[in-house]
Formats: sequence, C-alpha cells, structure tokens
Amino acid sequence: MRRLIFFASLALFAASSAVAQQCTSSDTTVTCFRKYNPLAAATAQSVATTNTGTPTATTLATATALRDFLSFFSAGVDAGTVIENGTSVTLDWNFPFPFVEDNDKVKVQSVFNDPSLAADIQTPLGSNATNAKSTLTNFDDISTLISYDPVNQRLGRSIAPHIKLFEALNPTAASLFAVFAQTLFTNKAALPQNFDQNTPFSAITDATLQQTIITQLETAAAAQKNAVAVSASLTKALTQLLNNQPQAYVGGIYHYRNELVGPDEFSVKGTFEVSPKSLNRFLKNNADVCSKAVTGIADANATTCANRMVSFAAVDDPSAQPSASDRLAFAIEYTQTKSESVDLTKFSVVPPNTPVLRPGTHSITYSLTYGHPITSAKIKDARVDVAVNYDNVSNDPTMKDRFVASLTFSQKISDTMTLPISITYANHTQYLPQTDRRMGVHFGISYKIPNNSGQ
Amino acid sequence: MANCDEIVLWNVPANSKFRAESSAVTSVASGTIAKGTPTADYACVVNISPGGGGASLTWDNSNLDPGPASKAVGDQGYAATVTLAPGPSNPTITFHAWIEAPSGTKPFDCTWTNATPNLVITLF
Repeated sequence: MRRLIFFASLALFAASSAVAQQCTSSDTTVTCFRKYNPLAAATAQSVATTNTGTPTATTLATATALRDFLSFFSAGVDAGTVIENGTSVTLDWNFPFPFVEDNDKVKVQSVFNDPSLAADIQTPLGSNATNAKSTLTNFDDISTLISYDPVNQRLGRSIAPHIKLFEALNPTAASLFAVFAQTLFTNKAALPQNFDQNTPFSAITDATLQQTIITQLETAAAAQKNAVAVSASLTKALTQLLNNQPQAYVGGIYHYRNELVGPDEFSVKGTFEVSPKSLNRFLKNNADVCSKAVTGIADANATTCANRMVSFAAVDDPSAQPSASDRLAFAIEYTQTKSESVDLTKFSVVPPNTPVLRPGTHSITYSLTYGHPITSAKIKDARVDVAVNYDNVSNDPTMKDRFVASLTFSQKISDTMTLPISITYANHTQYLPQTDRRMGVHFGISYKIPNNSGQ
Repeated sequence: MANCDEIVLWNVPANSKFRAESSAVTSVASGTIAKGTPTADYACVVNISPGGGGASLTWDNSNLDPGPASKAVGDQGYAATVTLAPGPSNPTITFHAWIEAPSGTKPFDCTWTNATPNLVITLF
C-alpha cells in the first residue's frame, strides 16, 4: 500500500516528465538514467566522524557525554598544562561481542599517563625527588578499561537492529523499472544482439519500440530520482536518531601505578547515556504510524512515518542541525585501592620517613555529564561538555570526599581532529585533603582515525 | 570497487537464477583488529519487482549476509533496486549480484560498494 501511494504521488511527475523528454535515440540506458540520476558521492552520513569529544577513561579533564564506541581505534593526546594530570595517550579498541546480541561490542581502552610522583612521597623524598622521578617510565601509570556496550533496538548506535524499519520506510522505484524490463523481455527478438545498458537506443530499429523503451526508462529514472532523494533524507534522519540512541555500558578499570606514582586501583563502573532526540523517543511518539514499520511491514502509514522521521531529525537543513544532539550521562563507579608500604630507602630516605604507608580504601564516585553541540553561523561542529564528579571515600581518614567539576569546549577541526579546551575545578587534590580548592585549564588535540576506506 | 554501472541490463537465459549477497567491513586496522573485519552495521535492501505479474520480493541483510539469496528468473522481466546504507560506524559495504545460467556459468557478475548506494538491475 505504501508503495502504491508513493507511486501514485509520482504519477503526475512522471506524466510531466514524459512530456519534457530528456533522452534521445542517441542515448544509452546509462546516459539516459544519469540525466535524471547524476553520479554523486555516497550520501550516507558518517557518524563516526561526529565531534564526540576526546576519549578518556576517566570523566575528568576532557570529559564528554558522548562516548565513542564507533571508531575501532582512536587515540588522543591531552596536554595538561597546569595541575594534576600531565600528558596522556589514550587508546580505544572496540571488539565484536556477539554472545548476547549480534551487534554487541566490548570496548578496551588504555590510558598511558605521564607518571608523576605521588604527593604523599614527595615530602619524604625531599631533594631526592628528582632522582626518583627519573626512574619512572611511560608504563608506570596505565589505566585499562574493559566495558560492555549492548546493541539492540533500544540501546546502542548501530543500524543493524533497525534494518527492518529502514526496509519498510525506504522507497523503491522497482515496479516502474519492472515495466521497462518487461517491455525488453517481450521484445527480445526486436532488440539488437548483446543489447545492454551501453547500447544506444538508436540500435533499436523499431521506432515505436524505441520510443516506448525511452519513455518507460525516463518514467522509471524520474521515479528513481525521487526515491533516492527520499532514501537519502531517510538515511540521514535515521543515522541522526541512531546517533542519539541511549547507550548503557558496564566496565571494569584496572589502574596500574608504580608505587612512586600511587597505589593500584580496581574499579567497576556503570554508565547510562540518553539524548532527547533519539530513535526510541521518535518511535514512541509516533507509534500510531510507525509501529508496523518497526517490524518491517510497509503499510499505508510508512510514508507518513518516514516524513515525520525526517522532520523530527530536522535533516532538511543540515547546516542548522548538529550531528549529535544533547546528551546526558550518569555513571556510578566503585573503586578499591590496595594498601601498600612504599620503601624509599633506595632513594637515600631513612626512617621514620620511610616506609610510607598507604591504607586500602574503597570509594563510590557519582558523575553526571551533560554535552551540548554548538552550531551557528560562525561556529560549527563544536561541543560543550559539563561534568560533575563526587567521590565518596571511606575507610581512609586521610582522604576527604572530593568534588570535581569540569567544563570542556571541543571544536572539531576536521573529520579526524578535535581541539578540546577544559576548565577543571576541584575542592582539593586527590591525596592532599588539606589542600584547598584548585582550578586548572587543560587543552589538547585529539586525532581520530576514521573508518573510511581509502581515506 | 564497483565494476559495473549503477544501472545494468542483463539479458538472462531462460531458467536462470538471480543471486546476490552483501557484506560490510571495517576499513581501518587497529591494534588487534585487522582492516577488513566484518561488521553488521549497515543496511542492504533489494526490492525485486516482476514486470509480467506476481508478487514483489524484498531481500535484506538477513537474506544477503551471509548469502547468497536466490530467485529463479528468465520467465519474465524483473527489476531489482538496491539500497546500500552504512550505519553509524560508516563501514565499507560490498554488494555482489550475478546470474547463474542453467549451464552453471555466470554470464553476468557485478560487484558494487556503497560509493554507489542506489543501484538498478534490470533482467529481461
């Protein structure tokens, strides 16, 4: 029924098209087709190159509400310039994990931080701190995260669970090309030998047949032009909404540190991200016309569903529509720090300044991150992310609960490069409860290797 | 890389079979994942319409990956329109279609990628 409506709507266009004939007997099927459907680059939108901020295992300095599970590999370099973190390199991998759902992935992320001496040993080390620092390497402060990101019709950024929906909404001009094909089939004997898409129509000696074939092809090609235009808008709208789908993931982080840098930590984290303009929300609000399409049934409402989807995603004006909408992420993280005794005698530190004892602790961190894309006449492909973290530390009287807030502005320079600038506020540093409020500024550059063939 | 035009006319022998399959792969290498790793993050939809009567047929990823999907042709004219839509990870999609003649030969055999996301295959 949907396709009948689609082609009924094309009837008037086809009729007018037949009057204003564009193809001649010197054309071939290909050249005639291209008069209506010029060769163009692929229209599919690349969400993988959306400005998703910079990848970090923690949600601190350059936090983003839009975690990037798309690139199989991405690396970022943060140049911390003022406090706490120095330079870090982040590596991301996404592995298929089809044991629960076909499209599920497991994310592995490693952050190699430039190691710095822990605050609690700097005083005991005194003038030997420089010597101790020189023993550290880039492998003395590494965070490794393994997380599970389910992908299904409700969660995750993939088109795979929504193929039936796309199939039901995607228009086709196949029936009009079938009329053209049937004419060729019933007139095989009248066609020149080896007639194909590159044979000029003038090779068909029967003038009536030649004109019929040209007209039928023009009608089908005109319908294809409209179908492709609708399909392109639909693909872009669907991609936009998929980009805004909620993501839920759980993961474990092991933070290995040289004892001079700090204690090893293990943590488990659960995160949930939502966006106001997701496919879930669209389908919920438009169940009256889209409920059948979700199951792959192209009923009479499918065209209305497709039109509403394009309107909801506002893809008619790409210049005014950011590729990723607002996102809100909430995370809870449980962290356990092992107790240890740091022996500093090899750095000429004598008792009672050595060993430095560190008690084992456990803490719960709550974090809330809000991301907002910025698009205007002067600013494009920029994001603002606001992150708030609260650490509730127990079992260690020397450590106070810690509040950290960060404001990150990231500007997409190109499809592969993003420039983040971050302002971070903390009521005290991680291991110095007596230290008062701290504020710092981070800036850096992130480079993402896109999944584009040959690019 | 596509080796055929975006619209093709195939003069198929009687009692032939129209076969098609699709796949998608990542296009970059990572530390442990090689370039070309299969992915499901794409949509391939093939609408087949008969010109002489009968029901239309639709193939999607579930029929095409892994394929091949197959339909008897050569008894009337058919047209197949193909849409290749990459998902958010923007993989490279490959669509492969061919005619298998009763003799087992392949008189027509084409491969396209999503550089050409909309195709028309006309069988007569």
